[in-house]
Amino acid sequence: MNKTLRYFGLCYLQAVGMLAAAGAGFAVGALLEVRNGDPGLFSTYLTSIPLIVLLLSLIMPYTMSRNYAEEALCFGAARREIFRGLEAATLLYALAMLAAGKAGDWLAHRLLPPEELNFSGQFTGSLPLLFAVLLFLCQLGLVLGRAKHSWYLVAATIAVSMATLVFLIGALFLGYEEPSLALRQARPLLGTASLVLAAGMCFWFHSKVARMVVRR
Amino acid sequence: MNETLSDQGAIYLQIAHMIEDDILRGIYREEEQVPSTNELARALRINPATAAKGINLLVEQGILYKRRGIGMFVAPGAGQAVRASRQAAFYKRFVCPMVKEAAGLGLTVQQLNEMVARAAEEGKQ
Amino acid sequence: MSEGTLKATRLCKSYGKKDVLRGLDLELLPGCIYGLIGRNGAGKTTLLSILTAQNTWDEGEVTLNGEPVWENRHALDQLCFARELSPALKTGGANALRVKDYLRAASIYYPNWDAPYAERLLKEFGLDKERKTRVDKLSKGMMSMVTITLALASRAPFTFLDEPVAGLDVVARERFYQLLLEDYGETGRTFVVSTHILDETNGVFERVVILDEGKVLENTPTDSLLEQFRLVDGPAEAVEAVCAGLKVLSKEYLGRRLSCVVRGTPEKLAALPAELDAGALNLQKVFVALCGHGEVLNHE
Repeated sequence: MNKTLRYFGLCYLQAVGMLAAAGAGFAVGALLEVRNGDPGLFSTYLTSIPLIVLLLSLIMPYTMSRNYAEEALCFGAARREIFRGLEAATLLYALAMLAAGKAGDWLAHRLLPPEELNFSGQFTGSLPLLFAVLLFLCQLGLVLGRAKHSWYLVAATIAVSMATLVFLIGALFLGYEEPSLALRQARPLLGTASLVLAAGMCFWFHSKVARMVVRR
Repeated sequence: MNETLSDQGAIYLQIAHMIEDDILRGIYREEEQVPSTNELARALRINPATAAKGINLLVEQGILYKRRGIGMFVAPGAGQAVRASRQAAFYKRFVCPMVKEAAGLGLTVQQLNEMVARAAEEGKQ
Repeated sequence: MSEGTLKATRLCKSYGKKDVLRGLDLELLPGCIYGLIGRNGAGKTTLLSILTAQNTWDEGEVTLNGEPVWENRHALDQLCFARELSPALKTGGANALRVKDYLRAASIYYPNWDAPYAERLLKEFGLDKERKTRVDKLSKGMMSMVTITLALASRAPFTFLDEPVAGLDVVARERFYQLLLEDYGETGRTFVVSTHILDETNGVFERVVILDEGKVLENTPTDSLLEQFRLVDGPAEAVEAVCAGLKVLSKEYLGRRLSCVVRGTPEKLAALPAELDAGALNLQKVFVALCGHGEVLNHE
């Protein structure tokens, strides 16, 4: 098995484990509330499992990748190998995140009255966005301090994702029944923009690494 | 072999010198085994290759010889050989500087000889 | 245990406008303990990171046994570069990895990793209890000890240590040299130790590589190097006369007394008059003489 996959594998597993534990906690809390009568705090927060997923997916792979990728190089791993291991680990992680998000969503649909569900639906509907952001940030974890220009693109992508989040949270607080009517309309645009950015970044980064690898 | 090595000058020469000293002092008699390269290296905290260089120098000079599979031994006549080479060096290393120093202090040759005789007497007691 | 020679040819590396390595040639023979010495900024760390393909370079090539080292799994498997751990990452941010993460990474990446040996070393260094500690919370001495553990237990045929004794106290430094020699005695692998602290490395390095201004100044057995230098000291005229046939590296006048560091063949040096011959030099003094770019000092 690719050494880097083994190396990254454990830390990603830990992240998934954490999320599963958090999700299970919320699920149990929501179940108990529903059994007792009204949906309460836990039920509300159950719908935000996808939100937790998104947040963790944004932060964790990036910080972990940077740390681990740099150290992998110090242990004498070839760059190609680091890259491939990182991609594989990230994809598996993304799949696990998706599954968690979907499970949370399904559970919310089972337990909660329809009025509470809009928020959740919006997030799981934004899965392409999630995917793109994840992949992009993890590949950036490989930058190893060499690519100055990538920071602008990181900032742009994070800005887009954050803007989406802020919009949704703001809408929720302002009491929109269909909190993301505007977002639903904007979602294709946001999703496309992120995908384009992410794809462009991946392509650019791949070619840069390929040059590093092939040059000698 | 409790002397510590000086950090000045080549180590392997100091190793050779150290073993020669021990032969002179009777610590190693002829046909006795001397410490192996690894033992020396460990005791003196030096590279085994350097210890080996010192030993090999003595082998070249005929002071030590190797018994295959066992180790390094003091060659017959080594005591004599070491004494002879040290005696030859004694003049340049000790006598000449002493004479020059004495001359610099204004001591006559006669005074110097008296001092040598006195030191020999004191040494006997 | 080591196979083949690690060779660097005409290496050039600059960081921006600063030339660090300028056409450096170096050949490292298998089965030898090398001391790599040079002033701050001479390029020691850069050289080590290039030799192990962790850093790119501008010109020249690095080969192991004739094969290029870059992105070459087979070559990389034989190399271990134990660099100084630092509390911050190169890419920014704190180093949040723990000691046990490093050990785990080592066991994955180093094909010859010796886990029982690593355990013994950790116990000896008293790091057994610090496994879960983050690297940025370790003291400098502890970081050095982790580096040393990784380097020794890697059992890599070519092992490079960058300033391994930085931050260690005298007792720990002594222990390091002992461990290094013990390991070498068992495995006969190649070690390249870059260090500033020369006065206690007496007899540990079989060969010494001196880096100066981006090039290799000397790559020679330590003893052979030390045999070429002597301190000559006495009345100025006498000393100057005697030094005529030798290379003078530094001169220090004190009134009418002159002290010189000279270089020559052992035969020429043996011919120096005894009253002017102030003795051989140690490695530290030789290094200062060679790389201090000796001025003529005049204490009036």
